[in-house]
Amino acid sequence: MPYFQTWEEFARAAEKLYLTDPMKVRVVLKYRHCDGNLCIKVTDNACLQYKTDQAQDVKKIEKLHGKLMRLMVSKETHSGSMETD
Amino acid sequence: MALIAMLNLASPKQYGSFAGTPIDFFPFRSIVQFLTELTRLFQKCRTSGSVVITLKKYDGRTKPTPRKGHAESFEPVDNKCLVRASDGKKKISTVVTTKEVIKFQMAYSNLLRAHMDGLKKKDKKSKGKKTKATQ
Repeated sequence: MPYFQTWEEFARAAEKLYLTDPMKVRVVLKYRHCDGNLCIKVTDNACLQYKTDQAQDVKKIEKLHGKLMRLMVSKETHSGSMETD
Repeated sequence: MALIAMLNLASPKQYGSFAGTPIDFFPFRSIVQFLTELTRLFQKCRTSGSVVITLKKYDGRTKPTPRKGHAESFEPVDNKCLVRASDGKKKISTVVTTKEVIKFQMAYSNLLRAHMDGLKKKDKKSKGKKTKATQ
């Protein structure tokens, strides 16, 4: 399960993964205050992960979380349309 | 035949599977209740432990996926998502629909930002200063 080094790469890959199969993908957020770190994982059983201990990333993570949530509740169906690249 | 009857009775209230694990009866809280309890989870875990939040698209099914050969008498909806939170012991969950997402998101992001404050801040002014707040 590789960890991404940069936030931008992770965010792009996460959104792409979600769009390939919205019903299969889940987003997991794990926050440990005592250790001072935050880990976000986007997976459809093949995993993408990003880990951070930087406060500046909280906002980015929370924005991505919100974006994916809005995609999930939108009425557009993305499954089957793999016209990327 | 007896096996099928047994299986039908075995899990009267399953919501399919979530994150790969079968769900037994999971009472969904209202979004307000969920947010209140999520706040409490964060407060409880300040000294030790982790808060895990999971987000997944939900098609509204209340019965397990039928086996092949059985007709799926179910109309999936497209506009819901499941949000779950846990501190390892206590689990809470809620369903967010399109109508509620804006309200939920505002409160939810405020909550995340308020509680996920234990991370290192990029401090350009003071070099080499360890200012991590001790709990």
